[in-house]
Amino acid sequence: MRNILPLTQRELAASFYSPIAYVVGCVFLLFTGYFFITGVLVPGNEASMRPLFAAMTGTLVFAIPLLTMRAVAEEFGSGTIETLMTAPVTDTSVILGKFFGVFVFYAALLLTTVPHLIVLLSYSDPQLGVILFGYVGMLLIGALYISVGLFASCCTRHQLLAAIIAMGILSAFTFLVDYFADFVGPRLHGVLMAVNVPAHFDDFTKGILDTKSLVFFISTTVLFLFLATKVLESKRWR
Amino acid sequence: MAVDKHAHTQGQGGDKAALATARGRRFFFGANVIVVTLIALALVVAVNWISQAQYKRIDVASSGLFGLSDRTKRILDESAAPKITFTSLYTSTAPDKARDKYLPRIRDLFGELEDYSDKIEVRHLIDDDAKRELIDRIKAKYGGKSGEYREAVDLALGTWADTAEWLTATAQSYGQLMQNRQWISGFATFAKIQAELTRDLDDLQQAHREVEEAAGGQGLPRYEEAKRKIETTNSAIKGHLEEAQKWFVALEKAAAMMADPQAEFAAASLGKLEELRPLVTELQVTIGDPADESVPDDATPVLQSFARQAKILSAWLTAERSRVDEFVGANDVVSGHFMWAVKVNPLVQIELPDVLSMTQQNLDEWDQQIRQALGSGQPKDVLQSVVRRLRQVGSDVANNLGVWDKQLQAFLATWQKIDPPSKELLEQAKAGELFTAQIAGLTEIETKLAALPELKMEDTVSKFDQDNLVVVETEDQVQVIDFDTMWPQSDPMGMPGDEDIERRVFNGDAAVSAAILALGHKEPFATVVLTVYEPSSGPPQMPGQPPQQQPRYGPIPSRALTKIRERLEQSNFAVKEWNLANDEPPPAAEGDRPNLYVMLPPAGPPQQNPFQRPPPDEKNFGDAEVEKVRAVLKAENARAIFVAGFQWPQVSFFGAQPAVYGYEGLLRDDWGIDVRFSQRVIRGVPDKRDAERYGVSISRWGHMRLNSFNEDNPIGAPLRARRCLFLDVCPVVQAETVPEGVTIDPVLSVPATGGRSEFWAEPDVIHVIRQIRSPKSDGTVVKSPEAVDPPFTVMLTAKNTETKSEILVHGAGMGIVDRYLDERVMRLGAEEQISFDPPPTENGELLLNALYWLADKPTFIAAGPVTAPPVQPIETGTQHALQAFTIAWAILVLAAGGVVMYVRRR
Repeated sequence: MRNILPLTQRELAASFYSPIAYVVGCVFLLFTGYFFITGVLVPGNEASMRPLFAAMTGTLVFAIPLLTMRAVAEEFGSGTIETLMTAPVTDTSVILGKFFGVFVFYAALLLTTVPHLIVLLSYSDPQLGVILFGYVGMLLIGALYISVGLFASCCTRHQLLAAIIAMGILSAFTFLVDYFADFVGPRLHGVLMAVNVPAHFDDFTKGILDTKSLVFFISTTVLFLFLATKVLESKRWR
Repeated sequence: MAVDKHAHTQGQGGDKAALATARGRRFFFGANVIVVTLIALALVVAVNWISQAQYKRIDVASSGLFGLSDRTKRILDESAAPKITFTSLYTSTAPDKARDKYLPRIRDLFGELEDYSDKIEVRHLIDDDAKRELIDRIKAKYGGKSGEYREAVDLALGTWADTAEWLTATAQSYGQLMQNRQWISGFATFAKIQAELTRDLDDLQQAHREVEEAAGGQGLPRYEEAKRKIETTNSAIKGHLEEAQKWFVALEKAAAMMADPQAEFAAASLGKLEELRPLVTELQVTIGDPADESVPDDATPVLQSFARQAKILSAWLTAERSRVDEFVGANDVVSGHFMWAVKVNPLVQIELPDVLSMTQQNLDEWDQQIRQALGSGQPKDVLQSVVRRLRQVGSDVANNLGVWDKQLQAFLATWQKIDPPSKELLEQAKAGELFTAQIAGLTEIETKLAALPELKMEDTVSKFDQDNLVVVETEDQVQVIDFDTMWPQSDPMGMPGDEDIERRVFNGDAAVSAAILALGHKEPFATVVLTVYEPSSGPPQMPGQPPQQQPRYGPIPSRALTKIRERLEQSNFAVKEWNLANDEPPPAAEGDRPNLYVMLPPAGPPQQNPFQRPPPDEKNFGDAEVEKVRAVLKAENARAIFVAGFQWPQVSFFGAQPAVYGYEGLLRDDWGIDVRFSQRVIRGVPDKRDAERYGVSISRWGHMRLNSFNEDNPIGAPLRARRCLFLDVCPVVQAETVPEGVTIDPVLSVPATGGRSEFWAEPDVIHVIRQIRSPKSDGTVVKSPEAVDPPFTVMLTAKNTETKSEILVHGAGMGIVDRYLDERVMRLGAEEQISFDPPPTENGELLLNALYWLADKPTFIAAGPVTAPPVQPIETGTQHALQAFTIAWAILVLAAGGVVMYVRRR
């Protein structure tokens, strides 16, 4: 476990020193700003950040893979993976270190939306508890997306391909499942809703803690981190 | 470096072994990874599976904003239905009902419902195929009852098809008879029957199409509409056929009688004609020929003789007229023949017997004149000129009676010459073959319709034409929640901005729970007794005449409460009526089910004519009726709502009669509540130019917004965020003296405001109306000096701690009548555009909440919409600044990155 912290710091530093991160952050803030102005800060509307959170969920499907694409794939591409593999650290520590590194960066990115909240508080009296719980949901969804991004990054040495794989997986679980859930029969509907990310996230934006959703996010995050670890492990003996 | 002798000496064989070992290692690691991955996947699936089955939902932060209310949960738990399906049909793309805006909250609600109970299934339909499937399913739900309607409709359409065929043939054959000028065509009624049959055929075909469309078109069959159409058309056509049949039968009887020349009337008529001729001749002979210029010197004997003869003839004519009238009275049909009419001139036609009357009157007049002339001693030449004049009169009388003679003979003769086609028709009428079969068929339809059970599908069907619906189904019932019920208009207090902006608030929880309650009818909570005073007869129109057989109604007639009754029954209340004018006791409570009395304002006394004493048997609401009500309220745990409101003074020719409210004394003396029914609460528009003047808007006059409910009182609290519109509101306040043991709480008030209030209670409404109608009016009015400014209450509850009785006095209750609850509210928006808002159904909800409270079921009071506060208005400049800020913030992050890159490079 003590190896995780240095790896986290290393990853964090890499994120903050990467120009892509700032470009992604800028674009992310432009999108969130737009949705905030047009969907949230509309006089007469209910004072709620739910429209913004819903929009951010969609934006993150494309933003997070861009943050995570270089996490492992770059190591392969630049050859530093050998150093990492031979270092006295486990694959699990490597993956967790990278995960936490990107996660902290993501949390910092979320913090940049706090000014929007401050503006909203200036013009209304929203239920702060609901909004804060929504941020908790954003962290959970971010963790899931990062774990998927890391998994994709482990699968290939090409960063762009890693990003595309991650976007593909996240789009399937975010957009496609949500869309097709309305068209299928009841049994398949139940299955789809069980893996429907926006549906699970929705409860958090409503200030409702549903243990189903909590278990879903945690378990799937752990699953993808596990899969990423296994993929990385497999590089040793291939 | 040590040499691996083993590998070296082995050579190629050694390489193969090493390779096989590496492959084996990869296989082992690979298989291991796959197995472990599968295990992990299975573990995740298992964990999620378990969490789906065993989970908890905790409203951590939303304070009921998104969760189900306790009321809804309780209603769901108590619902007997094993399965309830919620289907959303939100498909509208119109800006004011956009699916994207309104559907997400529906999804939230459905999600909560699905999570709460396993017996709930939810669906969201967005395409037409799915909608059609839903409609088919709903059609099937009404299977049993709608099957009977289907049978009735099929019977009607089948019978009508045959009737239409028959009508076509019959109308054509009658038309042919008229064209050929057959005997029967001489009767105007026959022509009328033929025309009616033709019209009936058109109506029948039209109705056939409409019924087919209603009962079998796209969407849900509108069986109630089809039934109404069938009833109306059937009844009209059957009525026409029955009338026609009656006429033909009467005609046949008359023809049978008149065809015999020896029959009484014919023989007597001919005999009378024989009598008449000499009388006419005698008259003419007496007076002389008009061509004869010579007149006797002494005209008096001639005139006297003429007068005598005229009198005899006049008496004969009178008797003859009576005889003929008697015959026609008994055989009315004969007077319909064209020969029974005589043309006096091209434009004027009279009945034949009128010739006798005219002639008789003429003779009487001349008789009078002759007597006057002779009695007043007129000179000789005057009398002679009278003689000359009378010669013409005699000639005219002879001509007129000649017409009578000739026409009557011709008329009698025509009955002897009935042609075969006409005879055949008469034979059929005699044999009962004329319309009997058709009338029997139509009667069968009538009987079938009368036996149909109530379908209660109309409301559901009519709603399916609208956009944005939620359909709630159980196995055999359906409720449809329309858009205005799910998203009623809101009126958030203190929200700046004008009333033109339509804001809606989500009321899904209450709407859904009301729908479920309506579906699962269980034992009613209580019996609502609508108490009225409606005497069944009014005063006579004129003295000495019997009383008018029309009930006298109060300002809220019981017949105008069908919507409220329906709502009460759907909400699990039984409904009864108690008319205090009928000397009957109040309905007895059934078992444990309490009676909740709704005391409607009694009918006031009729307008009094000061020049006339009121009839002794005139019934008015008085002490006897008050005592009846008092006795009810004195019982332990009595519960009642007194519906009151502003009572308009009765204005008549004799002046204004002050309004009365029958329960005024009882409420003041027994409960310490003062109902100021002669004051009307007005909400004006403060005039910016003059602090004393107010504009009076038509919309505010008829639909006054007021929703300052006491937030601590469960009756009105759920409606605080709703658009509540009232009619004819009066103050209901605590009296100066409140009896001991009575506690009073406000429910709805008109609050005081810091500055100038828009509201006031006006005791002289006529004064306000006069100002508005005055030619010099600028549209603004001044309050009367006795006007009362807020604060004052308009709705109160009172509890008697001794008897544990509770009442509610509702000073804004005039809006519970059907017309008010049904009519959409007109709004004049910006640029004077007229739009229509949903009807003010909140009046019904308020009454319902009050009844739940009285029935000790406060948990059944709908929680009302829970909304997050709205975003306040933002000035345009600030909006632009905020937009710029969001862009700048994003660029700042990018710039920060640039700085970091730069510093790092250095």
